[in-house]
Amino acid sequence: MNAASKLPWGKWLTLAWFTVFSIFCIIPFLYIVSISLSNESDIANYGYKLIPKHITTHAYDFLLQSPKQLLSGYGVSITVTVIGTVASLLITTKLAYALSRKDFGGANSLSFIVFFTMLFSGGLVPWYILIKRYLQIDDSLLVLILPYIIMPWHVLLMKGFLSDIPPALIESAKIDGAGEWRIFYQIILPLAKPALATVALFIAFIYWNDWWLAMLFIDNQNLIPLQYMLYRIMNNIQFLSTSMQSSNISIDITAMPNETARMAIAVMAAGPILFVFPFFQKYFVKGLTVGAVKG
Amino acid sequence: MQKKTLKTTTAALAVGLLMTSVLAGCGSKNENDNNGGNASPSNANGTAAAGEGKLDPVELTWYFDGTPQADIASVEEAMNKILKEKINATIHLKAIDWGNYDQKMQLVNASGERYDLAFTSSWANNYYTNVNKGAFIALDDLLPKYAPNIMKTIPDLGWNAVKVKGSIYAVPNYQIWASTNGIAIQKDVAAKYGFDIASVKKFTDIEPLLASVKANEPGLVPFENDKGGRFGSFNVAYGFDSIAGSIPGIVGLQDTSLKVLNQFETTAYKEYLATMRDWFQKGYVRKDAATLSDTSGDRKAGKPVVVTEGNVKPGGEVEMTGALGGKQVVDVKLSEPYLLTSSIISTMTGVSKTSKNPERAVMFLDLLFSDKELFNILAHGIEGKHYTKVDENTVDVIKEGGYDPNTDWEFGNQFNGFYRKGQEPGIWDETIKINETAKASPLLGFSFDPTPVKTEIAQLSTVTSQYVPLLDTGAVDPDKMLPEFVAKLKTAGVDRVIAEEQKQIDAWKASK
Repeated sequence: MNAASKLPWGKWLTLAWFTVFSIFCIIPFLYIVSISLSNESDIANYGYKLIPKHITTHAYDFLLQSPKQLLSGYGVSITVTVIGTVASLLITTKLAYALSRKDFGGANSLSFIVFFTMLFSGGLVPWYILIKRYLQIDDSLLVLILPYIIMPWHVLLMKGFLSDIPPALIESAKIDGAGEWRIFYQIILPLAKPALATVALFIAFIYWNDWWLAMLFIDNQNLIPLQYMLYRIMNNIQFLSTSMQSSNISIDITAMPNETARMAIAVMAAGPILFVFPFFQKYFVKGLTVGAVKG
Repeated sequence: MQKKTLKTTTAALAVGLLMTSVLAGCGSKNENDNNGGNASPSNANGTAAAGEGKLDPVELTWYFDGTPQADIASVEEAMNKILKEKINATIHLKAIDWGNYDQKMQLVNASGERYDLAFTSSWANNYYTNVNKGAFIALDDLLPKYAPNIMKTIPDLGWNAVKVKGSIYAVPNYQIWASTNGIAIQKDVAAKYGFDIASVKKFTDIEPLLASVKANEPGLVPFENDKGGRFGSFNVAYGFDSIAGSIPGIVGLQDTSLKVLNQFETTAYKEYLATMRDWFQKGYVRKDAATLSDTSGDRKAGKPVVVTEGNVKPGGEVEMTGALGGKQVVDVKLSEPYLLTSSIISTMTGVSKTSKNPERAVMFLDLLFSDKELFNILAHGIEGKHYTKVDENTVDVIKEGGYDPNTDWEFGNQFNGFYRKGQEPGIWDETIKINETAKASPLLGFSFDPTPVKTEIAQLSTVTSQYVPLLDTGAVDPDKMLPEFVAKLKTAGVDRVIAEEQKQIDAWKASK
């Protein structure tokens, strides 16, 4: 039982575990891609196959035949994600920076307020009333952006990163005559790049994947983001197939997109974020470990 | 190092807590709002004077279930032209997706948002829940005053069905009310194997057809079943009326003493399960039926040869043929038509407690019952833009028109509407005739208040959702699993629920 033989064992186990885990993550996605490229009748006859029996782009053709809704969905999703990520990142970082400064007297109590909202929330209904009745921003792009603009979790994450920047650095900048704004933009931000990239990715994911806000607040069909379009289709089919059986009503489900088309939408919704990820990855690994070891 | 770990743990914990608190917010909402009690129609009389003479202009908002339509604006505009002139009102139509409607309406009601009309039913935006919460106003005084056409159209039985504690809280839409159990059989397949459809009297009679299909048509599914099971589709055929959907508790349709039984303990259920087990083992249903929730793929491919009809009704064959990808079907009735509370309340419109102009909302509903033009704009859109006329009473949808809700049963008096292309002219009259001649269930008009046995019902639905998919599809051996299921129901408090149902029914019977 010496250490040398034990280590590869452990490594091998880790490797195997992550391989299996990755496979579990990848296979469902491959299924989605495969189904979206299959013939509808193949699915009905042979079930789901990892490699389609006959490859066809029929589902995508079908979607692109009336691309208006799809394009507007993309437009909304991209706009919300870009504006939301930039705005949210800026505000989150500013707040986190203030909280991380040791010479800021209110830092602790302000931190507590931020933290407090993680533990307790007003609940769904008061929140709904606030947005609908008092802010009156429902049915606009703003309602898709504003509610996620400050996530306490991101603020605390960011604060953790920024706390590691030595205060001496800020002091010396001050001595050299830099103002607060200049310190923030020209010294803090460049130093915090890995953290910014990490948090930006988190934020972008949240905006891109969100359908909840749209479900609650959007009526205008031109402001529907892509994810909500997808969610709606899936949810409707499920609801109708369970509730129609016993009810005295007739709803035409044949008008709903069929299986291949649904999967094609899923691929199109997942696509862009897949391409974004590699660009962030470089920073991502670094960002997660920043602050783990104190110098 | 240690400090950091602590920090992350705290943060992770915090996220967890945050999620639970959000979820708790959703869950507890129902209870909080229950003490609202029944709405009083107090504000109904205050504005009664406006009923005649000049009306102030008002805006009405209507929430209903359905896929939002692209060109809703021009439909609203066309409707408003008529409404302005007749009742000086404008309508704002808010269609909410099928799957989201319940949640959305819960929020709308809980937040006290102003709206005037809402679709309500037994299966979406639950009627009784809304009435218990006081979301709708009682319409007993408003209807005779402002809705003469509705009163003329809806038979008394209909009002009995929608009454809760003696008051009317919603206007039932006039569509097919009678409930007739039955199955649809693919015509060509039956002909191919020389199966005489007319010989089917009960659903087990189709077995020879299923056997030939299984033996010769590997691409087809002989009998469609899924995790919802099919027992509910045969309730009337077995001679039952269920009290509260899938919650245990039924009453025999012939039983005037109104004795409540647990359907899962009846011999009918036992026989049904034996058949299902047999069919499952012979391969007449899909092997994965117990976990299957979406059969629309199979249907579109025209695979199932025999499917249960939710309700056998005039025009139903055409609908099912459409659903099965154009495969011609023949409907077989397995029961007499019966008027059930559940079949009547499956589509209604309620007037919100938050409505500023309930009397105008009722007048608007009344117009939908009397004004064919208005109804058809709402149901089918604008001629030339959303549909073309095939003949005087039949319309054909323009696919790119941007308006085709295809839910005319949701908008008042369906029999006011045009037929859609493919529907046989005359089915409205036939439907009315069935409604008028159908026998009434002895339970018609009774509504169960689940509040006293809420906990038991929650436990029961956990048990049923665990066992019903397995038993009802034949995936497990009923000889072994049924006693286990019944025992679990007993532990979950089925007897208390049945006793409560019996108590309420007895009280209801005595008050009649």
